[in-house]
Amino acid sequence: MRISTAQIYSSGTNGLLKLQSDIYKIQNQEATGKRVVNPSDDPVAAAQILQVSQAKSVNKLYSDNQSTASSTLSTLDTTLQSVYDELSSVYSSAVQAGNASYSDAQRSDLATQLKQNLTNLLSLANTQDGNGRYVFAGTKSTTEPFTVNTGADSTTNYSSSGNSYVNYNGNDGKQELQVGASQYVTTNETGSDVFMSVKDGTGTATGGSVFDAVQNLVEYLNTPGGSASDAEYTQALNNIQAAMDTVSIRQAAVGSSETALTTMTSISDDKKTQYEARLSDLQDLDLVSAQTEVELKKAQLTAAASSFASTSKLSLFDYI
Amino acid sequence: MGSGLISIAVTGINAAQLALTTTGNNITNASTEGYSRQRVVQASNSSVMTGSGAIGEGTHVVTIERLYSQTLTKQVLNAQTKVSALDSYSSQASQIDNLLANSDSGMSTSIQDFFDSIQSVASSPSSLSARQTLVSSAESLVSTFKSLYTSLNELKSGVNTQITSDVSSINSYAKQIADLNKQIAKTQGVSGQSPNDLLDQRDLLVSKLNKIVDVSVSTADDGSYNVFFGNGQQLVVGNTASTLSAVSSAADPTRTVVGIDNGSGAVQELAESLITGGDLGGLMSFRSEMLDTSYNQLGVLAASVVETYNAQNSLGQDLLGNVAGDTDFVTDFFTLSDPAVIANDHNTGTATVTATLDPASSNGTNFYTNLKASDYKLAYDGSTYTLTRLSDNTAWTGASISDINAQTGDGGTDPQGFTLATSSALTSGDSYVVQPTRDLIRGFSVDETVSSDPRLIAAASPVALTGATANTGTASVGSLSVSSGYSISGLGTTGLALTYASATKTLSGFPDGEVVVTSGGTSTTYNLPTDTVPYTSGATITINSSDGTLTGVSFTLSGLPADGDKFTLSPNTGGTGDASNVVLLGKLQTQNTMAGGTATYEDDFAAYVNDVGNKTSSASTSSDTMTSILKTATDAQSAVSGVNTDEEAAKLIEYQQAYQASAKILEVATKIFDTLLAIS
Repeated sequence: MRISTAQIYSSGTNGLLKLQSDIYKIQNQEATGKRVVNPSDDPVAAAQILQVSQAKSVNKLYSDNQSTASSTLSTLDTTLQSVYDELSSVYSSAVQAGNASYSDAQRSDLATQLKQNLTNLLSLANTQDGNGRYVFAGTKSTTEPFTVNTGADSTTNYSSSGNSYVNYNGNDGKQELQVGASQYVTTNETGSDVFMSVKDGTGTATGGSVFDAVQNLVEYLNTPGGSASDAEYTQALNNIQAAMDTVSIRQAAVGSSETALTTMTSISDDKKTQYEARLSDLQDLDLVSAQTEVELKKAQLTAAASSFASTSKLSLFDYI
Repeated sequence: MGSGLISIAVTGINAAQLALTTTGNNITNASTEGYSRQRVVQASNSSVMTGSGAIGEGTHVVTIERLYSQTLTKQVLNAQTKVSALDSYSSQASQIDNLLANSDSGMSTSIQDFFDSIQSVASSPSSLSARQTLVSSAESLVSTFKSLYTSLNELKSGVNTQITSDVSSINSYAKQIADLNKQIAKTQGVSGQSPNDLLDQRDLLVSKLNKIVDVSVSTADDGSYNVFFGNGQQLVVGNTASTLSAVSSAADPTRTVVGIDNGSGAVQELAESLITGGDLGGLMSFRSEMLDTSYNQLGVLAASVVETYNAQNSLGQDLLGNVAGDTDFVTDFFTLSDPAVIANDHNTGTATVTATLDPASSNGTNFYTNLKASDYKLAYDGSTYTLTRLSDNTAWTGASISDINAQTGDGGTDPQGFTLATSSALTSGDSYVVQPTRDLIRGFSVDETVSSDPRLIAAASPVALTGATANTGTASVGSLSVSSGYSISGLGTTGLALTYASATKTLSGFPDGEVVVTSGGTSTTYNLPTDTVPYTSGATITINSSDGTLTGVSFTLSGLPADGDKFTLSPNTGGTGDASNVVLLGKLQTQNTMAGGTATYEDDFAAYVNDVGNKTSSASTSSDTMTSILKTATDAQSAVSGVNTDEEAAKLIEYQQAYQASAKILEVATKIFDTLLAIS
């Protein structure tokens, strides 16, 4: 075949340009460490990368929510423990009050002490988190949930049916966080569950709040001439016990949520590893084979350049 | 005798000189674009008959021949126009490909950031900083959409400009070819010899024209080229050239298309599909296959995010306690431009057609949109309205616009996500292009009021259900939700108290109207006041009062209530820590919110990216294949027509020697003559 002189030059340079562009492309991949830079590099992988990235991000989102939930629940657990401790102290004072040798004055001293416990309990019930939000207000988190009922009648027993010692201004709203594709965890305990609806060991409501139980005991102790055999005393003691049970049941619920979260967190961590591996498979460049290819192309480029240089130098004009 | 030899020598010298000139011309034009090598065709002069026989009279040059193959040139043209088309397609496509390449600042990241910030509000709904972050990430999502949209606009106006400049090049080449036709015919007529340089120039012009648009060439008897394009449109006939013009499309003025003078001075628009091959053909197919699709794909995605988010947002309550219906409540967190409807320039009627996006549909689990990434055409022929989806030519017909809407509109049998309206009856023969999604992003923004006051984000549920503290049973409140178009004005401020009666195991206190109890997938409707509503633990109870003041509210109660236990359904006053609605907003990310409830946002976007990647990579692969075919064709053509300087060097020596030999003949003739003179 005849070859024209222009052809020798154009095909020579085109060949060199093509090799250079191939090398440039591999170098660009090496610089980013990615095999798929543009969607056109591997359209199927590009789409999968987006989907796996989203799955990974969503998993991270759940994982972040899990740790937020864990930390909230752990604080809640501690607060509930403080409530329980306060009630324990009330209970031991109450048991002490049953001592037949106690004088009215001594019982009144105990009442003063219990009054202090009651103030502590009220303050615990109105606990605010670091952002000033009330923990036990349900979802009415900017409303102070527990306030002393100024209209209550101190001459009769306090109970939730119309004569509460303390009013609950919160609601039953649950604060939920999504911690899995279809899993939600409740990160709050409502004031009504923990403080207002005291239930005894059999799950039957006593009809009064934690505060009613303590205040009724205070009223009893302040009434001269009481004795351990009084029905009111026994009732008050039982109600305190029921209040402790209620709090510890709520605490157990919080504890089991925390345990569930621990399991979920470890699953999320596993998933994260899987997604990362999948992403790496899809988009990361095999550096060794990329480098091998560069070397190969470089050798080709050198050979092509040198053959082009030497053949293009040949000319009959040099000899005439 | 001697004079005969002298004249023979002169013919040889002349022929050798011509051959040397031709060779020199070849050498100097070795790198001239479009040059075909030439050679002299030499023949012996006719001899003189004598008694001694035929005496030769030397030589002469018959013609200077141009080495040229029409077949090979056609092959090159065919391959070249395809390569040009693929190159122009591929270079435009790679710009969209590049737009989608940057994974760190791209669409996916923006969507993810947006949903991350929704979760932050979910974990602390009363935190103003979390709400501010949500607003900021929503704004950054909007700006990601807008920057892609702007880039598409730049590409679009680039395509328009390129079409205009291609059209003017076509006109210029066509004119030059017509002029050359004239000169060539004239020259050939006068001398009978072929004007090689003019032929080369004309072929070069055809090849340049062919790089812009696929042309076919036929040769007339007088040697003129007739040039055609499209499906036989004449571009050059003899020495007249048609004039093309770049005009705004009658159907869509933002689109530059090619028009041709129909002979009577009026410009007739050429269908885009007629223009194939070359830079212009590449641009046309890029615009219809990739650019239009990209606009619509992004529009569908934006519209789906907006419609579904707004639908869920409108079911919430903001931090200030506003709910749907309140003056200060912001229903639409995002706003979009309205769909565009463009009346055809040739319409004779004055009716205007408008399209509005339908609100998101709900399948009970989540909201979704029905939009498709396509433009539509509405036409009226005097009796029937036809709406055609241009991406696949699916058509719906009806006797009126409402007949069409009953099929494609909100709640229609084959919903397309938008509803049409007309100002008056359409005129027969008129048509409109409906672009439901193409330019929605132009007016995409976050509501001004919310962005300046993020407390207005509707994170909470508008209702609350609270068990009375005096309750002695174990029943607790489960989920609580409202559906689109709900009403809670009937709750007043005190709320609606529902009371459980253990003897009948029923709940009472419902307003007159319907109460639907759904348990285990079965729904039962109770009509009050006639019926009583049974209590089932875990069942979903939905209230729709007959006076319309309490509708679309659902809740569940689980556990065992005690006789007389009360549950109060009330406005969620003070529910600042409630994140019920924002949790539902967050779920939109993983729900099937698009394509009639079959794809997530990310699925849809990934499919689009895959489509762009495929088209870009296949354009570049086809271009590589075509380029190698072109190379083969060019090599074959070059083998015939290209100049090889070594070959010419050899010829230079050959003809130089021929010259010298002829000169030697002259010398001999002179010597013979001198000898004769010496004798006399």
